[in-house]
Amino acid sequence: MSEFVVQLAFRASMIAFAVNIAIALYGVFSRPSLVKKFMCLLLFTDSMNLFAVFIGFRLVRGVYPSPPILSEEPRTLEELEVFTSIAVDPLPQALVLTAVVIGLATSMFILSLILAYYEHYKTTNIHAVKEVEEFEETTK
Amino acid sequence: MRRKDVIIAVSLSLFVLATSVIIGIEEFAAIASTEIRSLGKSYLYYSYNPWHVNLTSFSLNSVTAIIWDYRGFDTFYETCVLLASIIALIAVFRGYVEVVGLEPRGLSDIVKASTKLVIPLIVVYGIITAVHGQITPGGGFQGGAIVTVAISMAIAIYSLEFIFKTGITTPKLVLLRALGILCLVAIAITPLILGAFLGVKAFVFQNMAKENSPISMPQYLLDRPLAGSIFFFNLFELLIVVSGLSTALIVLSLREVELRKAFEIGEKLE
Repeated sequence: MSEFVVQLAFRASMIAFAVNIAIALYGVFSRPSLVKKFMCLLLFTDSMNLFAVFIGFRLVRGVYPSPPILSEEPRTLEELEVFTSIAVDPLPQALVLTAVVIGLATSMFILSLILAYYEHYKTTNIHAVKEVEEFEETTK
Repeated sequence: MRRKDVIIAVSLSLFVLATSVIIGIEEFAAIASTEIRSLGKSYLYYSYNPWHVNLTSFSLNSVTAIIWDYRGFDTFYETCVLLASIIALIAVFRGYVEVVGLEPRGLSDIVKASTKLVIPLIVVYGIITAVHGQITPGGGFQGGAIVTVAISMAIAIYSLEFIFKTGITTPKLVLLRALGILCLVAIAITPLILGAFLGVKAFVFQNMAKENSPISMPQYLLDRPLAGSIFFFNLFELLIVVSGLSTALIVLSLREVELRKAFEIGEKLE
């Protein structure tokens, strides 16, 4: 029973992940507004982080997999070995935490640039700005 | 223009289909295996292991053990990236001035009263998440992000004017952040200084005693695992994240008048 539930939840969230990526890429490629592009970029980052966490996921036969946290101090070495045999991989989670913080830091900076752009041109639509259109004409 | 949209739609749906097929077919699934990588296994095995005193970090939470013990340098540089991004943010708004006396706006009295009750709870919960990072899920970043929610609520519900009146201003927050990172560096080099005084070998970011170095940070506080330097790192990380994100929030939620003034002054400085 537990294995079936875990499998089902895993498959469903992986398909949701693929759909999320598709929506995010569509937004980044074809929406003209910078705010929409930024939101889709955040969605893309978060989907990728979710994928990295999923790589560390582990299917354990018979029981639900345990998070990489000991609920109490182990009294014997055997207890610790049981925990090691059912817990998921902690390394992708640690790396994702790093990625999330760096993503947050860069996205704050991007947001400030968008705010400055809006203050200068009074719009966030990149096609409504003359300079951008001229630049695109020259690079064609 | 229309052809471009069609191409994008078709290629994206193909992408979704391909990804779903790869995940759906069990033989090709590289993820959700029954066995994890040996590196992950060794982290799980040694993060709290009193039977291998030279390899453990005495942290019940393996993720925190990796972040602040086994990969401490990585996390330190990551904190520096957060610091640098805040500096870049302040550089974009370089003419930033706090205009006091704008009409204080905010939501209704009912919302304000209920927020007054909720904010202390959020702050306490964030601090607990940070200082119990070695025992329960959480850590400095997570706790800091939770505490910042309280500040963002205060900005949205009481207006920015209220935040300035309580004495939370960007120069103070920048100072707090610098202090936090100095404390982080101080904790990181404490084993080195102790080792120099005692005349034994020690390393930067050392937590527990190693085979060739007997210097060790405190393992327990009363009867709870303290996990040595991990507790202190989480505490100062909380300080850094709260002050950094609050600075960003305040600068990004400037009122129209302040924003115009900031960019006017900034353009003059160019």
